[in-house]
Amino acid sequence: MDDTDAPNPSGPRRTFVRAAVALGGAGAVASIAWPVGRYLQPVGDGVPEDLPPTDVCADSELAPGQMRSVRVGPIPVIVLRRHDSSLVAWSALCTHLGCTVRFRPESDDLHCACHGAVFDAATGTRRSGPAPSALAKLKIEVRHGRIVAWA
Amino acid sequence: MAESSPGRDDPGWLRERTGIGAWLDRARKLQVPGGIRSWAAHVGGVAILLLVVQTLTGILLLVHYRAGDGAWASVARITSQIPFGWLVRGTHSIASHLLVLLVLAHLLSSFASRAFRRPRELTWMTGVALLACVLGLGLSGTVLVGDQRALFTARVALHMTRALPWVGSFLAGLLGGGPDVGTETGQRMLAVHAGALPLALLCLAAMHLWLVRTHGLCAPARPRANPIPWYPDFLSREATLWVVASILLVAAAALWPPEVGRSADPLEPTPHGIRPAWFFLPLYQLLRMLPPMVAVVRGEQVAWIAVLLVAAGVLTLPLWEDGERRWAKRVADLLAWILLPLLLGLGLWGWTSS
Ligand code: FES
Repeated sequence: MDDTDAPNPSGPRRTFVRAAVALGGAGAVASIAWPVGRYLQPVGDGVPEDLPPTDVCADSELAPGQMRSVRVGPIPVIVLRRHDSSLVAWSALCTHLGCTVRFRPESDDLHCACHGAVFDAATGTRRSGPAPSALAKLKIEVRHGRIVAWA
Repeated sequence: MAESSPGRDDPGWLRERTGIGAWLDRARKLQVPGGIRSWAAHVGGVAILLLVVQTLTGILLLVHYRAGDGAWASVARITSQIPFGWLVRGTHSIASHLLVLLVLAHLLSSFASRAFRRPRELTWMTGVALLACVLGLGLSGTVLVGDQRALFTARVALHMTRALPWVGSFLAGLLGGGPDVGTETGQRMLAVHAGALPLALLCLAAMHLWLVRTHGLCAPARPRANPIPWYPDFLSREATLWVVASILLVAAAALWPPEVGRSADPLEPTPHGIRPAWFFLPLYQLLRMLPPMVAVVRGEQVAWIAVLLVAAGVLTLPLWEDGERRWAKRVADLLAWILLPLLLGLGLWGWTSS
């Protein structure tokens, strides 16, 4: 041990000790942060790519101008019978910040009460308000007299 | 007996073992600058009272609260079946609103008297961080109730988080526990509301208090009166205020008990006229007004830019408005005169809009 080395603040030994402490500290932080980060990972299920065919109601139950709400997988869905008796199904999740839209027959649109986005009931496109895109469309068809929606 | 152990009830016993004597002596000699508008000097004391109330009522609520799917039912049970549950929950709720109000008023008065200038820069910054904590507690607390407002508050908050560039999805996953609001979200909000944020608040409040003790209360620019002793003059006024505030708090909780909205049903459309807590109304109204895209930036991200700019300006205020430069003082005043009416106007608009 050479005592004359010790007081020299910029000596190579001091640099080495500093680097070692910094490296060790970083290692300690990482060895805590990594498991904690993994532990906190989301565990809920994602929205599946394809949603299972879901029974809505009997074809005869839905008159022109009427609607039904169903859940297809995790998604709330609005099924509409148009006045030309065609069927459409929209995801009710507002494309703005995820609230749930309501069908308004009087203005034939879908309205979100959170920040006032309005979507066209026939095309799903945005009519007004802050929503960036159209409502997601689901597939719909009548099988053996029952309406079925899926995606 | 009396001779062998010379008295647990001897006041010297505790003094000798804890060193509390020196501390008491110092407190006895403490002076508070005279001429401070008396209500402003006591804001901190009332805030501490509210924090104590929140901790106690929060622990009580935890006994009967269930996170996740049973959240709404447990809140309804606390409100209508558990003896005095309505009072515990009512006090917790009213005190939370008061706390936000108090912190805001305190920051405003510190701004007006320029109390944030050297050497109190860090006192101001910890105060701003405390405001963020209190707002976070308000938001997570709203979500814990489990009614419709809770569901849509959580949805909007998580989607907003996701709109942050780079870190958005990671943070939203961390807070929400899944792609959509669900059981996981309630449990994580509880961890945030009853664990992480209170701890952060406690540390910040301790730092804040430490700094106030270090620098003393900020004296008015032209002191008009002699300093007054902290003990007993200041302390007795504070104690009176605590008693009055406690009575008012419980009375308010009894008079305006918080309601439980309808149980959240993800299938039901968002009810008409739904609104966030009052302190989020300016942001809410901003979100309603912004178009989907502003040039190449999405509307929510514009809202984020606005929020972060204001937050950064307020947090760093003492660093650029240090009392040395006239222009900085003018800019700070100008910004305050623009921002305050703007926030107030947006909030009122959000409140009245349908
Ligand atoms: S979430 Fe629908 S308009 Fe904002």
